[in-house]
Amino acid sequence: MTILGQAAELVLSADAELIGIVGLSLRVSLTATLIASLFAIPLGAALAIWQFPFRQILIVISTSLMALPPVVVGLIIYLLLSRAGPLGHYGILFTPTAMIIAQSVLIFPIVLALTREAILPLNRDYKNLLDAWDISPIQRLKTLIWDARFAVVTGLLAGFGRALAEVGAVIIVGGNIAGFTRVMTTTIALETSKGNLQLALALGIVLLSIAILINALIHWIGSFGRKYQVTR
Amino acid sequence: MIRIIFTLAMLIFASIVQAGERFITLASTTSTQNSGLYDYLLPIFTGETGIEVRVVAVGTGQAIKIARNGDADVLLVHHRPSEDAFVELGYGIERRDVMYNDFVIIGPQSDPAGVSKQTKARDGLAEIADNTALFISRGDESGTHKREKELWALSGIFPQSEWYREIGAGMGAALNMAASVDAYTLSDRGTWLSFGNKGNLALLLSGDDALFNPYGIILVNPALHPHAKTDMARRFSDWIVSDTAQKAIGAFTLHNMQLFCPNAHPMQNTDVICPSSKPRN
Amino acid sequence: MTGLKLTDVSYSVDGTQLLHHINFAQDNKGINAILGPNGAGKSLLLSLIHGVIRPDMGLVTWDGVATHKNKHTRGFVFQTPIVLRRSVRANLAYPLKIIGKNSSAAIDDMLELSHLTALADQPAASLSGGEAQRMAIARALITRPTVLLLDEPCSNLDPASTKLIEAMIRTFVADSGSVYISTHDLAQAKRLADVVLFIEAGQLLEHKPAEDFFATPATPQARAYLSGDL
Repeated sequence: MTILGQAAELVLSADAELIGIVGLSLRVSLTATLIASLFAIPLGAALAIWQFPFRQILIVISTSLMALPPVVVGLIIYLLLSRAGPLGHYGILFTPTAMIIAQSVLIFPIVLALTREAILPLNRDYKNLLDAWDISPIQRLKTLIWDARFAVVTGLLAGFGRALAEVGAVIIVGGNIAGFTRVMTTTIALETSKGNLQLALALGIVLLSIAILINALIHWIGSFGRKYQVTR
Repeated sequence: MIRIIFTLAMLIFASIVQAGERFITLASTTSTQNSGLYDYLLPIFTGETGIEVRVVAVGTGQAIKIARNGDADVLLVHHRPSEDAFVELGYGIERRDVMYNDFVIIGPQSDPAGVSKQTKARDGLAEIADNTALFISRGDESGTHKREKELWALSGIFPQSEWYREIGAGMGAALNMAASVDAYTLSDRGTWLSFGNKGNLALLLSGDDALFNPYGIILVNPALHPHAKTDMARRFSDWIVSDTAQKAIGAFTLHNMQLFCPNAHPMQNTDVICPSSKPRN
Repeated sequence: MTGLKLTDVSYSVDGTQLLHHINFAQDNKGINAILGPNGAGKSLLLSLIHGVIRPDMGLVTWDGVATHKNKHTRGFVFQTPIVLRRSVRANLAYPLKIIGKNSSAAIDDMLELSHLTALADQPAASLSGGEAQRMAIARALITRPTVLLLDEPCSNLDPASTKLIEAMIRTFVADSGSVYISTHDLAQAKRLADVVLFIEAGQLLEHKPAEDFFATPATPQARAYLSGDL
């Protein structure tokens, strides 16, 4: 109980360093979510709409990638970005950019799969109607993504939540450098390893609050979207 | 809509990527990081030179690998044989002594194996083995883990049984686990002193010469890694062995205890109280 | 070469031939009712006519142009209305957007024609079956097509809704549009049709003015159908 009390106190007295850590966490994970979504949403929608070669293989691969542990993603990105690796000359290992790349890879399959799941039933509803018009593939894609936007955003937030909560990938490729690549989860890991359990818990509470906020948002968006759905 | 998202992403991306060029990356150990030494020491260096030092704190083994791959500019670790090999193999240049502290054997206050009655580390470990008391090993090829294996070799025991648990984790994790299962473990003094979750653990054995724990600094060889910021790294190396930095290291305390003893110039530092187990006034 | 022309059109699914060598030509005028028992191929024929599916064999043209082009010159309405998950107004705006137009005046006109003005900003999903079908017809008409294709549009609706929809169809025809409508409802066919296309088991058996068809059906199948025995 005293640990909880101390933790609450630490959260309330949020100092500049803590705010910086939370801010970096949000920035890295948000950017990663946006970048992953840029590719995953159109591809996920395409997988739901069209039959094309290797489609099944793509679906199986992307679904399997969802089970990939963050440390493995981190390790792969680490090996790619290391000076000894193929992308080493960019020198972005141990930077927020590396963390964004790792998290983008981590989130991509989630947003892809959830977008596909969101578009599948909508496409079943819409297919005949859209077929009856001279509609370009791009227009079809945009229409389905737009009308499934509430479900798609839900997937996006799920990806964001995963990015925000993971520690395995960012600690490897970011290096947990104080004031530069230190985010909430790596700080929690660090403070736990220092035996500073109350500070670790305080950060955990911040993380939990953000998670609750995200889930409330998912719930709210979902209820908003249901209004437009056919219930018959 | 998609265009807006893209632009937004690029903006955020750009804002993160842009960062000062005057920085070096230091691959180092959790023992130095966790003690808070860098939080205390590095701002002084940055203030004097304007060079930011980004510390990637991992186990000594991993830190050496990071430096070998050229992902850091300078290395500060604590395992002399590995450091010498690193320089000998051409990965690093200009190794210098920086400071030392010592390893300590930690265990439950009740000390069921009677480790505190021993003065030699190897005898302490032998007691643990004889009593099959739980022992937590880092098992992560860190400097502490390497030293632990050397100490077991000294004791003539090859620990491989149920009481010996290799957890493959950092010092803090090992101490957390030792605290929760009443086990023994080997720690560096700095991490032990700064550790916040001691529980029933106590320092049981220290002061043996075999527990001497020196730290050295090495520059990554620019011949191997032309991108390495050798000039700035050398400024850091020069600085950390300078009188200013050495005095600062000696003055660093935690809970009123000195954590590290500067030894870049052992002859000049006779006024510093070492070994670091003694409280300072 | 004006109007619809089918030349030797056949269609099969999984080796089963569902439409057999259909040939006919029809000017763009009036209301053409496609009649026939369940499974005769009425919906299939409408889809082929619109170009949503392509025949295995043969050719479908409108004014000499292959049917899968210029779909926006025709409107298509399904048996069960498909609503976009948007407001009623946005549903009507959608086909205009596809062809690069935007006319709130046209939308207001259509809302009025379909008696949906009061519901314009409601989610389309909240409409009743009759309202949704009216919206679907309005949406099909918004691009000012010359032809309206309806696949049993009133089969799930009550008489009042049916009446409103028939009124919309008549208004369209009065405005010199032509209509192809498949229906089960003989009374509706008698009320609306100028021409009847009777198909049975995938074959076009009769194609003649509605009065002739109902007064003197030529084939035994048509006679059986009209007497309720098929």
